[in-house]
Amino acid sequence: MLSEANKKLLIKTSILAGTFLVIFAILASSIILSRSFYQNGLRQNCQAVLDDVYPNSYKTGQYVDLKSGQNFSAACFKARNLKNGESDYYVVIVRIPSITGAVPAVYLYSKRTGTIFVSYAIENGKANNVMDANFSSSSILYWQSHIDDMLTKSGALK
Amino acid sequence: MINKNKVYTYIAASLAIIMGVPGRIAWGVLMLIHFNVLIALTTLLTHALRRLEIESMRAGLIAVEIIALTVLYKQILSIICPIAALTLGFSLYLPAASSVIMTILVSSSFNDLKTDIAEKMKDALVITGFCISLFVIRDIFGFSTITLPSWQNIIVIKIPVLFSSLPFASFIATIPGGLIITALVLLLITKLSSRGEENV
Repeated sequence: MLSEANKKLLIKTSILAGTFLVIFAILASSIILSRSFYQNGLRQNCQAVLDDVYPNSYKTGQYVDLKSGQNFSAACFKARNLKNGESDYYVVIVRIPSITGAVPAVYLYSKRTGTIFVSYAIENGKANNVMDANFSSSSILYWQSHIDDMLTKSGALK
Repeated sequence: MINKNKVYTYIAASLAIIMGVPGRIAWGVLMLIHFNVLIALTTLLTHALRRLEIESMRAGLIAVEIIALTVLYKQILSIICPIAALTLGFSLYLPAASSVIMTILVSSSFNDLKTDIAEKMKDALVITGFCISLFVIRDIFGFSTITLPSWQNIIVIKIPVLFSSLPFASFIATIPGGLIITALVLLLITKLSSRGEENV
């Protein structure tokens, strides 16, 4: 049989191991549960930006898995043009570096025009004059070309 | 008045919180909630480990707890405000990885739980006050907005543009401007603090 000291050690180690398992279970379930909220929330943000810049023109659809590490800093959704009925549009919301820090930007891709920058997802107030396409063209243009590659590699453009 | 010896600790903590994100009040509120919860829960863990007498693994377990709490907080943000989870992204891990967390938390002297929590939260409150004031300055003077986190969105309240004719005003919104403002405010606080100690 175990001595008193070993019994105490076993109890403590069991508490520790149990705590690790509980932490792991909580984290795993929170990651699985939050996935649909995350996608729906970002879809609504993309729709709001599209409605602001192109009123009554586009409707966002289902989530597209980019199948890359960019899943943590970007989200892609299918979109439909309400004016001509075409549905091979993609709207991407991505965190891009800017002179004020990391900001969420929305881009729209279509086969005809390629990727275009729509707008930032959050109003920048007076800082627009340093964040708009005239001043911050390098980071906006870099991500514009990068999104074409991302969509191609994800297989969404077949 | 702030303790002179802790100034460098406060600088490191503040930079980890302020520099990673744009200077909007909403991001500041979310980062500082995370920072304060981290300090409070990790102090509780330290005392729990002391009760269980497994202090040999304290540093490793604190590191695991900090990372686990940060991951959980990011998932909670993904549910409450997905745009914040996307924008803050890896910046949430900066205060967690910041050495100041370990410096504040892994102290060798132990008091009872109440005193320890009060002392740690006082440190955290000083850092919180300093950081939130910087976020407010940058948002109001740099962006001319007041931003607040809300359900599934960020509320942006535009305010009348202050000092619009000054080119320096937009500079405050940028990262270099933020660093300069941080340094100036810290200099002011340090000067006032040392002058207060001289008068005493």
